[in-house]
Amino acid sequence: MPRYPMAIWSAAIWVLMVSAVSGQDPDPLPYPVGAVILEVSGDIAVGNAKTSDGGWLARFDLDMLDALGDSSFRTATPWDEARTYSGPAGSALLDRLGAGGDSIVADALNNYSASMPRSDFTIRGAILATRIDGQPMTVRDKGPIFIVYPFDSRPELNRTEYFKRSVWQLSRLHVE
Amino acid sequence: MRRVFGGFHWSTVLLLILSAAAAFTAGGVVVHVSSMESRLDVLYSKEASYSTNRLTVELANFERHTVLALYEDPSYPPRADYRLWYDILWNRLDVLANAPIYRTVPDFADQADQIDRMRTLHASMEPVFGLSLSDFRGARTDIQAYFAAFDEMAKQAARAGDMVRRKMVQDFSARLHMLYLLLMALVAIMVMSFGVLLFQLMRQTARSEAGRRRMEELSLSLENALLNARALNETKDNFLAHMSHEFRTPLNAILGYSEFIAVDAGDRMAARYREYAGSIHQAGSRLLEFVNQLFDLSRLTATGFQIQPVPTDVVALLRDARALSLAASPADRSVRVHLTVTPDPLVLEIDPRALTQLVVNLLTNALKFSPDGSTVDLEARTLKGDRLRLSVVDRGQGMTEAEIANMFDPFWQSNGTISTDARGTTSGGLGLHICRQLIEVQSGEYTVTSAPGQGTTVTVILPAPPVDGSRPQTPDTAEAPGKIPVGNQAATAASRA
Repeated sequence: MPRYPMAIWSAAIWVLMVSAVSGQDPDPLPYPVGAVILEVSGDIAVGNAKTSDGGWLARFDLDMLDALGDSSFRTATPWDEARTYSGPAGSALLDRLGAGGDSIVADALNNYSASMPRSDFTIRGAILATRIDGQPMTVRDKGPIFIVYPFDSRPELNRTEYFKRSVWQLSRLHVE
Repeated sequence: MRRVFGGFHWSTVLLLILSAAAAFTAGGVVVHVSSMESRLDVLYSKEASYSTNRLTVELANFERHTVLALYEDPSYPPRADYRLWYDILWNRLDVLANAPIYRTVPDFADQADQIDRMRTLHASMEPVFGLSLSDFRGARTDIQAYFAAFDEMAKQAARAGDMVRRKMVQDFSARLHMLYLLLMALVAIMVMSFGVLLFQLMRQTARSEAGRRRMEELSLSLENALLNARALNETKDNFLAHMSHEFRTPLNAILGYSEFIAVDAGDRMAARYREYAGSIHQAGSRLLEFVNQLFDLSRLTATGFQIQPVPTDVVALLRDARALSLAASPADRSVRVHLTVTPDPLVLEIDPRALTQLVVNLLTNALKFSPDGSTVDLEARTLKGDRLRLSVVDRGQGMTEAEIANMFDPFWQSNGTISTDARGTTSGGLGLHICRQLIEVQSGEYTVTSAPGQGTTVTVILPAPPVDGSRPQTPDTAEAPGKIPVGNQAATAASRA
């Protein structure tokens, strides 16, 4: 026993260092191929471009968003009857970008802007819907991205507060 | 406290229930009002007002971008942005047309109509906005007319919405006003209920307080009356004790002189006068017996009989008592007294004076009612639990149950029906009453069994702890009250023979 501690310690330190380095080196984000429909900036660890002030900027086309997974659900909204909304979960996007921060500012093509806490994505299950009933969304149909909350499965979300955070024609997210 | 809260009047209970119901209703009203407000908040703020405002903003943006495109502003690079805003406005008109409020609230029909017309107008412009930029500029007049018409329609829609909204807000505040009035009324009822409740409680408390005070006064006056009665009784007993002494002195003189006449002066007098003297002596003896018993009784009740248990030789005491009783009975009577004591000798802790008087009285009574030649049994026996049982059994005429029930009452024998009985007793009737007193002050008990023609058995049980190893005190019978009648009762039961 007294002979081995040194060897064991060095092995353990190697394992720790390797795992730490690999943990700090995230999957690089690919470059968008199609039309960019979402830009994410602010407190993120991964990106595929730089902003003017030197921070990461993550630019997504529809394929890249689809790659984040699909969390679809069916719900009615104050503006429409029950429809099936599909797209990545908000939390999946935050995880993919290693995003920190407590709140997210969502800007839309129509100059609309709303701020929401990070927990709306991580706990309340808001998704970045890219399709309605399986069809990609046009601007006339609240596209290209619509932040939707599961209003039907969580009745407590049927409040003005959450209706105002349901940003449609979403084009940019800023994590703070 | 229980008296105050235990005696609720039914109206108090009703008031309690009413105020509870009022509180419940008030809570319901508050919840209803707040839910109504939140519902209106969603419907009006979000849908009608907000969306209409956004429509105006988005229309202005669309117009700005279109004008920039029309006039070829070189500083405006994304020249096709007007088409994006065309689509954004399209979406806005869709949202407004589909909004639940326009579909469900009839008051919004005008606004919904305007929105439909805007949609038709907007859709009709699609070919124009789909043109290439150069052709698009050629359509300038159409576009200007479109914006003018759209502006007008948007203003009319906003006006219609405003009017409806104002009307609804008025309706709502009127309803709210009514609810608040109802709420106030309920609160007022609650307050009044509690007021009445408090009043009733106070009145009840005051009432019970008055009752308590009256009871106190009553018990005080009762206590005073009792004290007065006791004082009067005491005076009476003192008087009786005093009078008994006063009676005995002249009586002894009468008895002495009548005996003297009958015995000594008999030869010198006619037989008739000797008989008279005998009658005087006999009557005097009865009177003395009665006076003595009266004296004993009044002494007992006036001062209370002080029981002083001392080690006592019960056998000797009972022999003395037998001798006293026999001596007191008429000389011509031939009744014997058979004494049994178990165990023998027997020494007990007991008051000798009280025991002697008790036994003498019981024996005297038994002897009186025994026929000549019969035997009276006097039996003493110790019982478990440090008690002494005395029984006196005679073979007299016996008594009925009614007579047994009365036999210990004072003066019972002076009752007319009894005095004419065949027993012919003319005794004062106080002896047995004294017995009862003596038994009671010693915490003893007695039973009488008797039936007409079968004799009478009187059994007395007295507490008497045994004495171990101490010398018995010789009963001081000279002091016993039972001795007083001895020698003066020679003729008492003469008529019974």
